Amino acid sequence: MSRFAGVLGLNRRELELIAPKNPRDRMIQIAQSKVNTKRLLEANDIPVPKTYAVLSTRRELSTFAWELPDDFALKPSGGGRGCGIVVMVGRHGDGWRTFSGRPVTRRELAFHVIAILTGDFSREARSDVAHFEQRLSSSLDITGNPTTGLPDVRVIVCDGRPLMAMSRIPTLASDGKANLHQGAVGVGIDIPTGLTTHAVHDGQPCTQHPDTKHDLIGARVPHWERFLDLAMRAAVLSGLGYTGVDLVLDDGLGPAILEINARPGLNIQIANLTGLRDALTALKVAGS
Amino acid sequence: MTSLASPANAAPRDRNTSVTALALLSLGLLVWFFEPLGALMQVFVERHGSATAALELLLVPVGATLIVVLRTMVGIEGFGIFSPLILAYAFVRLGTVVGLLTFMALLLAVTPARLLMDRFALLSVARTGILVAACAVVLFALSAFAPAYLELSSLGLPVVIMAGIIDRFVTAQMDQSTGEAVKLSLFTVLAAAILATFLQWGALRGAVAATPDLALLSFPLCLLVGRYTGLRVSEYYRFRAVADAGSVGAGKSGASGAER
Repeated sequence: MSRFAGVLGLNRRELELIAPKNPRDRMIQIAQSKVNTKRLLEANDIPVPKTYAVLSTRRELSTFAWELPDDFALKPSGGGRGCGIVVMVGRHGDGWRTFSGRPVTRRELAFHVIAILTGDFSREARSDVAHFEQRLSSSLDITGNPTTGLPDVRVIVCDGRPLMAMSRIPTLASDGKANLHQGAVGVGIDIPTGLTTHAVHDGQPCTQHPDTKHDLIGARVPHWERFLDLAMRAAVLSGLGYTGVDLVLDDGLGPAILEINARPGLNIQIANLTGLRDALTALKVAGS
Repeated sequence: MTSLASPANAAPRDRNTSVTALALLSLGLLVWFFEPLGALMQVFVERHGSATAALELLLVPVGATLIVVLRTMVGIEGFGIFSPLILAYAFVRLGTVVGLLTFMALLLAVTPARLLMDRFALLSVARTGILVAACAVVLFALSAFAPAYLELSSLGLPVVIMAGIIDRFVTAQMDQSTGEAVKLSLFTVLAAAILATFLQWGALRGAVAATPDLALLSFPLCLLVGRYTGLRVSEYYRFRAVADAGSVGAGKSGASGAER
Protein backbone atom coordinates (compact mmCIF):
# COMPACT_ATOMS: atom_id res chain seq x y z
CA MET A 1 0.00 0.00 0.00
CA SER A 2 3.05 2.26 -0.15
CA ARG A 3 1.73 3.51 -3.48
CA PHE A 4 -0.81 5.37 -1.39
CA ALA A 5 1.76 6.92 0.97
CA GLY A 6 1.52 10.31 -0.73
CA VAL A 7 -2.27 10.43 -0.74
CA LEU A 8 -4.04 12.52 1.88
CA GLY A 9 -7.19 10.99 3.37
CA LEU A 10 -10.06 12.55 5.30
CA ASN A 11 -8.78 11.35 8.70
CA ARG A 12 -5.32 12.85 8.29
CA ARG A 13 -6.68 16.08 6.80
CA GLU A 14 -8.79 16.52 9.93
CA LEU A 15 -6.15 15.59 12.53
CA GLU A 16 -2.95 16.92 11.01
CA LEU A 17 -4.02 19.93 8.93
CA ILE A 18 -7.37 21.36 9.96
CA ALA A 19 -7.17 20.75 13.73
CA PRO A 20 -3.73 22.32 14.23
CA LYS A 21 -3.86 25.01 11.53
CA ASN A 22 -7.45 26.28 11.49
CA PRO A 23 -8.59 27.89 14.74
CA ARG A 24 -12.17 26.89 15.47
CA ASP A 25 -13.56 30.38 15.94
CA ARG A 26 -12.05 31.59 12.66
CA MET A 27 -13.49 28.56 10.84
CA ILE A 28 -16.94 29.31 12.20
CA GLN A 29 -16.69 32.96 11.20
CA ILE A 30 -15.55 32.13 7.68
CA ALA A 31 -18.14 29.39 7.20
CA GLN A 32 -21.05 31.27 8.73
CA SER A 33 -20.70 34.58 6.99
CA LYS A 34 -19.80 34.90 3.36
CA VAL A 35 -20.94 38.52 3.66
CA ASN A 36 -18.34 39.33 6.33
CA THR A 37 -15.61 37.38 4.54
CA LYS A 38 -16.34 39.38 1.40
CA ARG A 39 -16.18 42.66 3.34
CA LEU A 40 -12.80 41.68 4.76
CA LEU A 41 -11.43 40.88 1.30
CA GLU A 42 -12.95 44.00 -0.26
CA ALA A 43 -11.34 46.20 2.40
CA ASN A 44 -7.99 44.74 1.32
CA ASP A 45 -8.48 45.51 -2.39
CA ILE A 46 -9.16 41.92 -3.38
CA PRO A 47 -11.79 41.72 -6.13
CA VAL A 48 -14.99 40.00 -5.01
CA PRO A 49 -18.53 40.07 -6.42
CA LYS A 50 -20.23 43.36 -5.49
CA THR A 51 -22.88 43.09 -2.76
CA TYR A 52 -26.19 44.63 -3.89
CA ALA A 53 -28.25 44.07 -0.76
CA VAL A 54 -28.14 42.16 2.54
CA LEU A 55 -31.37 41.03 4.18
CA SER A 56 -31.20 39.73 7.73
CA THR A 57 -34.81 39.97 8.96
CA ARG A 58 -38.30 39.52 7.52
CA ARG A 59 -38.98 43.19 8.24
CA GLU A 60 -36.06 44.17 5.99
CA LEU A 61 -37.54 41.89 3.34
CA SER A 62 -41.01 43.47 3.55
CA THR A 63 -39.57 46.97 3.02
CA PHE A 64 -37.06 45.82 0.36
CA ALA A 65 -37.45 47.88 -2.86
CA TRP A 66 -36.23 45.09 -5.21
CA GLU A 67 -33.98 47.54 -7.05
CA LEU A 68 -31.74 44.92 -8.58
CA PRO A 69 -29.88 44.73 -11.87
CA ASP A 70 -30.86 42.37 -14.73
CA ASP A 71 -28.61 39.60 -13.45
CA PHE A 72 -27.51 38.73 -9.92
CA ALA A 73 -27.02 35.85 -7.51
CA LEU A 74 -29.04 35.31 -4.33
CA LYS A 75 -27.09 33.41 -1.68
CA PRO A 76 -27.32 32.36 1.94
CA SER A 77 -24.47 33.88 3.92
CA GLY A 78 -23.80 30.70 5.88
CA GLY A 79 -24.57 27.88 3.44
CA GLY A 80 -21.98 25.39 2.35
CA ARG A 81 -21.37 23.27 -0.77
CA GLY A 82 -23.31 25.70 -2.97
CA CYS A 83 -26.62 25.00 -1.20
CA GLY A 84 -29.40 27.53 -1.59
CA ILE A 85 -27.78 29.65 -4.31
CA VAL A 86 -30.07 30.90 -7.09
CA VAL A 87 -28.75 32.82 -10.08
CA MET A 88 -30.80 35.15 -12.30
CA VAL A 89 -29.37 35.85 -15.73
CA GLY A 90 -31.88 38.32 -17.20
CA ARG A 91 -35.28 40.05 -16.99
CA HIS A 92 -38.60 38.36 -17.64
CA GLY A 93 -41.58 40.66 -17.31
CA ASP A 94 -41.73 41.92 -13.74
CA GLY A 95 -39.27 39.32 -12.58
CA TRP A 96 -36.18 37.51 -13.79
CA ARG A 97 -35.23 34.23 -15.41
CA THR A 98 -32.71 31.52 -14.58
CA PHE A 99 -29.88 30.07 -16.65
CA SER A 100 -32.23 27.43 -18.06
CA GLY A 101 -34.82 30.10 -18.96
CA ARG A 102 -37.34 29.46 -16.18
CA PRO A 103 -39.12 32.69 -15.19
CA VAL A 104 -38.90 33.61 -11.49
CA THR A 105 -41.23 36.16 -9.95
CA ARG A 106 -40.46 38.56 -7.11
CA ARG A 107 -42.77 36.54 -4.90
CA GLU A 108 -40.78 33.36 -5.51
CA LEU A 109 -37.53 35.18 -4.77
CA ALA A 110 -39.04 36.60 -1.57
CA PHE A 111 -40.02 33.08 -0.59
CA HIS A 112 -36.47 31.90 -1.21
CA VAL A 113 -35.20 34.75 0.98
CA ILE A 114 -37.52 33.57 3.77
CA ALA A 115 -36.22 30.02 3.35
CA ILE A 116 -32.68 31.37 3.72
CA LEU A 117 -33.56 33.49 6.78
CA THR A 118 -35.25 30.48 8.41
CA GLY A 119 -32.04 28.52 8.04
CA ASP A 120 -33.07 25.97 5.41
CA PHE A 121 -29.59 26.10 3.87
CA SER A 122 -27.35 26.74 6.85
CA ARG A 123 -25.66 24.19 9.07
CA GLU A 124 -27.90 22.91 11.85
CA ALA A 125 -30.78 25.03 10.54
CA ARG A 126 -29.37 28.14 12.22
CA SER A 127 -31.13 31.33 11.12
CA ASP A 128 -29.16 32.95 8.36
CA VAL A 129 -28.68 36.12 6.31
CA ALA A 130 -29.55 36.43 2.61
CA HIS A 131 -27.56 38.56 0.22
CA PHE A 132 -27.88 39.63 -3.39
CA GLU A 133 -24.60 39.93 -5.21
CA GLN A 134 -23.09 40.59 -8.61
CA ARG A 135 -23.25 37.56 -10.93
CA LEU A 136 -19.75 36.69 -12.05
CA SER A 137 -19.48 35.19 -15.51
CA SER A 138 -16.78 33.85 -17.75
CA SER A 139 -17.37 33.12 -21.38
CA LEU A 140 -14.09 31.21 -21.69
CA ASP A 141 -12.71 28.47 -19.47
CA ILE A 142 -9.05 28.50 -18.36
CA THR A 143 -7.97 26.59 -21.47
CA GLY A 144 -9.39 29.42 -23.59
CA ASN A 145 -12.42 27.55 -24.90
CA PRO A 146 -16.03 28.72 -24.75
CA THR A 147 -17.93 27.39 -21.75
CA THR A 148 -21.40 27.32 -20.27
CA GLY A 149 -21.90 27.80 -16.57
CA LEU A 150 -19.17 29.16 -14.35
CA PRO A 151 -15.81 27.36 -14.28
CA ASP A 152 -13.71 28.10 -11.20
CA VAL A 153 -10.13 27.81 -9.99
CA ARG A 154 -9.42 26.22 -6.64
CA VAL A 155 -6.10 26.88 -4.95
CA ILE A 156 -5.22 25.08 -1.73
CA VAL A 157 -3.05 27.35 0.40
CA CYS A 158 -1.07 25.96 3.32
CA ASP A 159 0.66 28.33 5.74
CA GLY A 160 0.44 31.15 3.19
CA ARG A 161 1.91 29.19 0.28
CA PRO A 162 0.05 27.56 -2.62
CA LEU A 163 0.03 23.77 -2.25
CA MET A 164 -2.08 22.48 -5.14
CA ALA A 165 -4.44 23.95 -7.73
CA MET A 166 -7.13 22.86 -10.16
CA SER A 167 -9.89 24.26 -12.30
CA ARG A 168 -13.39 22.82 -12.36
CA ILE A 169 -15.10 23.13 -15.72
CA PRO A 170 -18.86 22.53 -15.93
CA THR A 171 -20.31 20.02 -18.39
CA LEU A 172 -23.80 19.37 -19.71
CA ALA A 173 -24.04 16.58 -17.15
CA SER A 174 -23.15 18.92 -14.29
CA ASP A 175 -25.84 21.38 -15.44
CA GLY A 176 -23.53 24.37 -15.37
CA LYS A 177 -22.29 23.57 -11.88
CA ALA A 178 -18.59 23.42 -11.12
CA ASN A 179 -18.84 20.48 -8.77
CA LEU A 180 -16.79 17.35 -9.47
CA HIS A 181 -19.25 14.82 -8.08
CA GLN A 182 -22.03 16.41 -10.12
CA GLY A 183 -20.07 15.69 -13.29
CA ALA A 184 -17.81 18.71 -13.80
CA VAL A 185 -14.30 18.12 -15.20
CA GLY A 186 -11.38 18.71 -12.83
CA VAL A 187 -8.18 19.99 -14.45
CA GLY A 188 -4.95 19.97 -12.47
CA ILE A 189 -2.74 23.07 -12.72
CA ASP A 190 1.02 23.07 -12.17
CA ILE A 191 1.62 25.85 -9.64
CA PRO A 192 5.02 27.21 -10.80
CA THR A 193 4.13 27.37 -14.52
CA GLY A 194 0.34 27.72 -14.60
CA LEU A 195 0.10 24.92 -17.18
CA THR A 196 -2.73 22.39 -17.04
CA THR A 197 -1.36 18.91 -16.36
CA HIS A 198 -4.10 16.28 -16.00
CA ALA A 199 -7.86 16.09 -16.17
CA VAL A 200 -10.41 13.90 -14.48
CA HIS A 201 -14.07 13.27 -15.23
CA ASP A 202 -16.31 11.05 -13.08
CA GLY A 203 -13.25 9.74 -11.24
CA GLN A 204 -11.47 8.69 -14.46
CA PRO A 205 -8.47 10.44 -16.03
CA CYS A 206 -9.28 12.10 -19.39
CA THR A 207 -7.65 14.51 -21.82
CA GLN A 208 -10.64 16.12 -23.56
CA HIS A 209 -13.73 17.98 -22.43
CA PRO A 210 -16.57 15.40 -22.59
CA ASP A 211 -18.99 17.75 -24.45
CA THR A 212 -16.89 20.02 -26.63
CA LYS A 213 -13.96 17.57 -27.08
CA HIS A 214 -11.39 20.34 -26.83
CA ASP A 215 -8.01 19.49 -25.31
CA LEU A 216 -7.64 20.18 -21.62
CA ILE A 217 -3.95 19.42 -21.11
CA GLY A 218 -0.99 21.74 -21.65
CA ALA A 219 -2.94 25.01 -21.72
CA ARG A 220 -1.54 28.10 -20.00
CA VAL A 221 -3.95 29.57 -17.46
CA PRO A 222 -4.35 33.30 -18.16
CA HIS A 223 -3.42 35.70 -15.32
CA TRP A 224 -1.97 32.78 -13.35
CA GLU A 225 0.32 34.98 -11.22
CA ARG A 226 -2.65 37.12 -10.28
CA PHE A 227 -4.73 34.02 -9.34
CA LEU A 228 -1.95 32.80 -7.03
CA ASP A 229 -1.35 36.22 -5.52
CA LEU A 230 -5.06 36.72 -4.73
CA ALA A 231 -5.43 33.21 -3.30
CA MET A 232 -2.42 33.60 -1.02
CA ARG A 233 -3.48 37.04 0.21
CA ALA A 234 -7.05 35.89 0.86
CA ALA A 235 -5.85 32.80 2.71
CA VAL A 236 -3.60 34.86 4.99
CA LEU A 237 -6.40 37.37 5.63
CA SER A 238 -8.77 34.54 6.57
CA GLY A 239 -6.55 33.67 9.53
CA LEU A 240 -6.69 30.00 8.56
CA GLY A 241 -3.56 27.95 7.93
CA TYR A 242 -5.13 25.43 5.53
CA THR A 243 -7.75 26.67 3.08
CA GLY A 244 -9.18 26.11 -0.37
CA VAL A 245 -9.67 29.45 -2.11
CA ASP A 246 -12.21 29.46 -4.96
CA LEU A 247 -11.65 32.02 -7.72
CA VAL A 248 -13.32 32.87 -11.00
CA LEU A 249 -11.96 34.49 -14.15
CA ASP A 250 -14.71 37.09 -14.54
CA ASP A 251 -15.10 38.70 -17.99
CA GLY A 252 -15.13 42.17 -16.42
CA LEU A 253 -13.20 41.92 -13.17
CA GLY A 254 -10.54 39.40 -14.20
CA PRO A 255 -9.55 36.97 -11.43
CA ALA A 256 -11.90 37.44 -8.44
CA ILE A 257 -12.54 35.49 -5.27
CA LEU A 258 -15.83 33.64 -4.82
CA GLU A 259 -15.32 31.81 -1.57
CA ILE A 260 -12.85 30.57 1.03
CA ASN A 261 -13.25 26.98 2.25
CA ALA A 262 -11.98 26.00 5.68
CA ARG A 263 -12.28 22.28 4.90
CA PRO A 264 -11.25 21.89 1.25
CA GLY A 265 -12.04 18.59 -0.45
CA LEU A 266 -9.58 15.91 -1.48
CA ASN A 267 -10.61 15.37 -5.11
CA ILE A 268 -8.00 17.93 -6.18
CA GLN A 269 -5.52 15.03 -5.80
CA ILE A 270 -7.29 13.13 -8.56
CA ALA A 271 -7.30 16.15 -10.88
CA ASN A 272 -3.55 16.52 -10.35
CA LEU A 273 -2.80 12.79 -10.12
CA THR A 274 -0.62 13.79 -7.18
CA GLY A 275 -1.11 13.19 -3.48
CA LEU A 276 -1.40 16.16 -1.14
CA ARG A 277 1.02 14.55 1.31
CA ASP A 278 3.65 14.43 -1.45
CA ALA A 279 2.92 18.09 -2.19
CA LEU A 280 3.24 18.98 1.51
CA THR A 281 6.62 17.23 1.67
CA ALA A 282 7.76 19.15 -1.41
CA LEU A 283 6.59 22.41 0.15
CA LYS A 284 8.58 21.67 3.32
CA VAL A 285 11.70 20.79 1.31
CA ALA A 286 11.40 23.98 -0.74
CA GLY A 287 10.80 26.06 2.39
CA SER A 288 13.80 24.91 4.46
CA MET B 1 -0.01 34.62 12.32
CA THR B 2 -0.73 31.74 10.05
CA SER B 3 2.56 29.99 10.64
CA LEU B 4 1.25 27.52 13.18
CA ALA B 5 4.05 25.16 12.23
CA SER B 6 3.47 21.61 13.35
CA PRO B 7 6.85 20.96 15.07
CA ALA B 8 6.02 23.68 17.62
CA ASN B 9 2.78 22.06 18.81
CA ALA B 10 3.93 18.49 18.32
CA ALA B 11 5.81 18.19 21.61
CA PRO B 12 3.07 19.27 24.09
CA ARG B 13 0.48 17.22 22.20
CA ASP B 14 2.62 14.10 22.47
CA ARG B 15 3.16 14.65 26.20
CA ASN B 16 -0.58 15.11 26.74
CA THR B 17 -1.15 11.90 24.88
CA SER B 18 1.21 9.83 27.02
CA VAL B 19 -0.25 11.28 30.24
CA THR B 20 -3.75 10.44 28.99
CA ALA B 21 -2.64 6.96 27.95
CA LEU B 22 -1.19 6.33 31.43
CA ALA B 23 -4.36 7.55 33.13
CA LEU B 24 -6.47 5.32 30.88
CA LEU B 25 -4.24 2.34 31.52
CA SER B 26 -4.61 2.68 35.31
CA LEU B 27 -8.37 3.15 34.90
CA GLY B 28 -8.43 0.00 32.79
CA LEU B 29 -6.55 -1.94 35.48
CA LEU B 30 -9.03 -0.76 38.12
CA VAL B 31 -11.92 -1.93 35.94
CA TRP B 32 -10.13 -5.24 35.40
CA PHE B 33 -9.85 -5.84 39.16
CA PHE B 34 -13.21 -4.55 40.36
CA GLU B 35 -15.51 -5.15 37.37
CA PRO B 36 -17.88 -2.29 38.31
CA LEU B 37 -20.40 -2.99 35.58
CA GLY B 38 -20.41 -6.67 36.56
CA ALA B 39 -21.34 -5.68 40.11
CA LEU B 40 -24.04 -3.34 38.80
CA MET B 41 -25.38 -6.12 36.63
CA GLN B 42 -25.80 -8.35 39.69
CA VAL B 43 -27.78 -5.61 41.43
CA PHE B 44 -29.86 -5.17 38.27
CA VAL B 45 -30.66 -8.88 38.02
CA GLU B 46 -31.55 -9.07 41.72
CA ARG B 47 -33.99 -6.18 41.41
CA HIS B 48 -35.49 -6.85 37.97
CA GLY B 49 -35.19 -10.59 37.67
CA SER B 50 -33.54 -10.73 34.21
CA ALA B 51 -30.59 -9.17 32.41
CA THR B 52 -32.22 -8.70 28.99
CA ALA B 53 -33.09 -5.01 29.28
CA ALA B 54 -29.67 -4.21 30.73
CA LEU B 55 -28.00 -6.11 27.91
CA GLU B 56 -29.73 -3.91 25.31
CA LEU B 57 -28.31 -0.82 27.02
CA LEU B 58 -24.83 -2.30 27.29
CA LEU B 59 -24.84 -3.09 23.59
CA VAL B 60 -25.31 0.60 22.73
CA PRO B 61 -21.62 1.47 23.33
CA VAL B 62 -20.63 -1.58 21.28
CA GLY B 63 -22.85 -0.41 18.40
CA ALA B 64 -21.59 3.17 18.62
CA THR B 65 -17.99 1.96 18.48
CA LEU B 66 -18.73 -0.17 15.43
CA ILE B 67 -20.26 2.84 13.65
CA VAL B 68 -17.16 4.89 14.48
CA VAL B 69 -14.95 2.14 13.02
CA LEU B 70 -17.14 1.81 9.91
CA ARG B 71 -16.91 5.56 9.30
CA THR B 72 -13.26 6.31 10.04
CA MET B 73 -11.57 3.11 8.96
CA VAL B 74 -13.82 1.53 6.35
CA GLY B 75 -15.39 4.72 5.01
CA ILE B 76 -19.05 3.68 5.17
CA GLU B 77 -20.30 7.18 5.85
CA GLY B 78 -24.04 7.74 5.77
CA PHE B 79 -26.19 10.39 7.39
CA GLY B 80 -24.43 10.95 10.71
CA ILE B 81 -23.97 8.45 13.52
CA PHE B 82 -27.43 8.44 15.09
CA SER B 83 -29.40 7.51 11.98
CA PRO B 84 -27.67 4.15 11.38
CA LEU B 85 -27.65 3.38 15.10
CA ILE B 86 -31.40 3.87 15.59
CA LEU B 87 -32.23 2.27 12.25
CA ALA B 88 -30.20 -0.72 13.42
CA TYR B 89 -32.46 -1.01 16.47
CA ALA B 90 -35.50 -1.00 14.20
CA PHE B 91 -33.83 -3.78 12.20
CA VAL B 92 -33.07 -5.73 15.38
CA ARG B 93 -36.70 -5.57 16.43
CA LEU B 94 -38.06 -6.51 13.00
CA GLY B 95 -35.30 -8.74 11.79
CA THR B 96 -32.87 -7.28 9.28
CA VAL B 97 -34.62 -8.48 6.13
CA VAL B 98 -38.11 -7.35 7.14
CA GLY B 99 -36.62 -4.10 8.41
CA LEU B 100 -34.92 -3.49 5.07
CA LEU B 101 -38.13 -4.31 3.17
CA THR B 102 -40.14 -1.96 5.40
CA PHE B 103 -37.65 0.79 4.83
CA MET B 104 -37.72 0.29 1.05
CA ALA B 105 -41.52 0.29 1.09
CA LEU B 106 -41.53 3.54 3.03
CA LEU B 107 -39.03 5.09 0.65
CA LEU B 108 -41.17 4.14 -2.34
CA ALA B 109 -44.47 5.14 -0.75
CA VAL B 110 -43.19 8.51 0.39
CA THR B 111 -41.87 9.42 -3.06
CA PRO B 112 -45.28 10.75 -4.22
CA ALA B 113 -45.38 13.01 -1.13
CA ARG B 114 -41.91 14.22 -2.02
CA LEU B 115 -42.89 14.95 -5.61
CA LEU B 116 -45.94 16.82 -4.36
CA MET B 117 -43.74 18.94 -2.13
CA ASP B 118 -41.52 19.85 -5.05
CA ARG B 119 -44.57 21.50 -6.56
CA PHE B 120 -45.13 23.81 -3.59
CA ALA B 121 -42.16 25.75 -2.35
CA LEU B 122 -42.10 24.72 1.30
CA LEU B 123 -39.88 25.60 4.21
CA SER B 124 -37.80 22.62 5.24
CA VAL B 125 -39.45 22.20 8.67
CA ALA B 126 -42.88 21.87 7.05
CA ARG B 127 -41.42 19.40 4.56
CA THR B 128 -40.00 17.26 7.37
CA GLY B 129 -43.34 17.37 9.18
CA ILE B 130 -45.15 16.07 6.11
CA LEU B 131 -42.59 13.30 5.61
CA VAL B 132 -42.88 12.09 9.21
CA ALA B 133 -46.67 12.11 8.94
CA ALA B 134 -46.62 10.28 5.60
CA CYS B 135 -44.21 7.63 6.92
CA ALA B 136 -46.40 6.98 9.96
CA VAL B 137 -49.54 6.65 7.81
CA VAL B 138 -47.84 4.32 5.34
CA LEU B 139 -46.45 2.19 8.13
CA PHE B 140 -49.88 2.04 9.73
CA ALA B 141 -51.32 0.77 6.46
CA LEU B 142 -48.55 -1.82 6.16
CA SER B 143 -48.95 -3.03 9.74
CA ALA B 144 -52.68 -3.62 9.22
CA PHE B 145 -51.78 -6.35 6.71
CA ALA B 146 -48.57 -7.61 8.30
CA PRO B 147 -48.49 -10.88 10.27
CA ALA B 148 -49.08 -10.29 13.97
CA TYR B 149 -45.61 -11.37 15.12
CA LEU B 150 -43.92 -8.53 13.23
CA GLU B 151 -44.80 -5.73 15.67
CA LEU B 152 -44.62 -3.12 12.91
CA SER B 153 -46.78 -0.76 14.92
CA SER B 154 -44.33 -0.58 17.84
CA LEU B 155 -41.91 1.31 15.62
CA GLY B 156 -42.74 4.86 16.75
CA LEU B 157 -39.20 6.09 17.22
CA PRO B 158 -37.62 4.28 14.28
CA VAL B 159 -40.34 5.74 12.05
CA VAL B 160 -39.15 9.21 12.97
CA ILE B 161 -35.61 8.18 12.10
CA MET B 162 -36.63 6.58 8.81
CA ALA B 163 -38.51 9.77 7.95
CA GLY B 164 -35.41 11.70 8.92
CA ILE B 165 -33.27 9.62 6.55
CA ILE B 166 -35.82 10.09 3.78
CA ASP B 167 -35.83 13.84 4.46
CA ARG B 168 -32.05 13.98 4.25
CA PHE B 169 -32.25 11.91 1.10
CA VAL B 170 -34.57 14.55 -0.39
CA THR B 171 -32.31 17.40 0.74
CA ALA B 172 -29.21 15.70 -0.62
CA GLN B 173 -31.02 15.10 -3.89
CA MET B 174 -31.83 18.81 -4.22
CA ASP B 175 -28.49 20.18 -3.01
CA GLN B 176 -26.06 17.73 -4.50
CA SER B 177 -27.29 15.08 -6.87
CA THR B 178 -29.48 12.02 -6.94
CA GLY B 179 -26.44 9.77 -7.15
CA GLU B 180 -24.91 11.29 -4.04
CA ALA B 181 -28.24 11.07 -2.19
CA VAL B 182 -28.67 7.40 -3.11
CA LYS B 183 -25.09 6.70 -2.06
CA LEU B 184 -25.53 8.34 1.35
CA SER B 185 -28.85 6.55 1.98
CA LEU B 186 -27.44 3.20 0.89
CA PHE B 187 -24.46 3.65 3.20
CA THR B 188 -26.79 4.56 6.08
CA VAL B 189 -28.88 1.45 5.51
CA LEU B 190 -25.79 -0.71 4.94
CA ALA B 191 -24.19 0.50 8.18
CA ALA B 192 -27.48 -0.16 10.01
CA ALA B 193 -27.76 -3.66 8.53
CA ILE B 194 -24.17 -4.54 9.46
CA LEU B 195 -24.79 -3.17 12.94
CA ALA B 196 -28.08 -5.05 13.35
CA THR B 197 -26.45 -8.33 12.35
CA PHE B 198 -23.58 -7.68 14.75
CA LEU B 199 -25.89 -6.78 17.67
CA GLN B 200 -27.87 -10.00 17.17
CA TRP B 201 -24.73 -12.13 17.11
CA GLY B 202 -25.11 -14.68 19.89
CA ALA B 203 -21.43 -14.85 20.81
CA LEU B 204 -21.25 -11.09 21.31
CA ARG B 205 -24.45 -10.98 23.36
CA GLY B 206 -23.23 -13.87 25.48
CA ALA B 207 -19.85 -12.26 26.10
CA VAL B 208 -21.33 -8.91 27.12
CA ALA B 209 -23.93 -10.62 29.31
CA ALA B 210 -21.23 -12.65 31.08
CA THR B 211 -18.74 -9.77 31.34
CA PRO B 212 -20.65 -6.47 31.21
CA ASP B 213 -17.41 -4.53 31.67
CA LEU B 214 -16.50 -5.38 28.06
CA ALA B 215 -18.79 -2.47 27.12
CA LEU B 216 -16.26 -0.12 28.70
CA LEU B 217 -13.74 -1.13 26.01
CA SER B 218 -15.65 1.29 23.77
CA PHE B 219 -13.88 4.23 25.38
CA PRO B 220 -10.26 3.27 24.67
CA LEU B 221 -11.28 1.88 21.26
CA CYS B 222 -12.96 5.13 20.22
CA LEU B 223 -9.96 7.08 21.52
CA LEU B 224 -7.62 4.99 19.39
CA VAL B 225 -9.80 5.10 16.29
CA GLY B 226 -10.31 8.84 16.78
CA ARG B 227 -6.57 9.35 16.25
CA TYR B 228 -6.30 7.10 13.20
CA THR B 229 -4.75 9.11 10.37
CA GLY B 230 -4.50 6.36 7.76
CA LEU B 231 -6.63 6.03 4.65
CA ARG B 232 -10.11 4.57 4.86
CA VAL B 233 -10.71 1.38 2.89
CA SER B 234 -12.99 3.37 0.58
CA GLU B 235 -10.20 5.87 -0.10
CA TYR B 236 -7.97 3.15 -1.55
CA TYR B 237 -10.64 2.87 -4.22
CA ARG B 238 -11.36 6.60 -4.53
CA PHE B 239 -7.71 7.58 -5.03
CA ARG B 240 -6.56 4.55 -7.01
CA ALA B 241 -5.77 6.75 -10.07
CA VAL B 242 -3.47 8.95 -7.94
CA ALA B 243 -1.64 5.90 -6.59
CA ASP B 244 -1.26 4.39 -10.08
CA ALA B 245 0.14 7.66 -11.43
CA GLY B 246 2.53 7.96 -8.49
CA SER B 247 3.98 4.48 -8.98
CA VAL B 248 4.70 5.14 -12.66
CA GLY B 249 6.74 8.24 -11.82
CA ALA B 250 8.40 6.43 -8.88
CA GLY B 251 8.24 9.51 -6.66
CA LYS B 252 10.97 8.53 -4.22
CA SER B 253 11.68 12.10 -3.19
CA GLY B 254 8.43 13.90 -2.53
CA ALA B 255 9.57 16.89 -4.57
CA SER B 256 9.38 15.13 -7.91
CA GLY B 257 5.81 14.16 -7.11
CA ALA B 258 4.73 17.78 -6.87
CA GLU B 259 6.57 18.95 -9.97
CA ARG B 260 4.36 16.95 -12.24
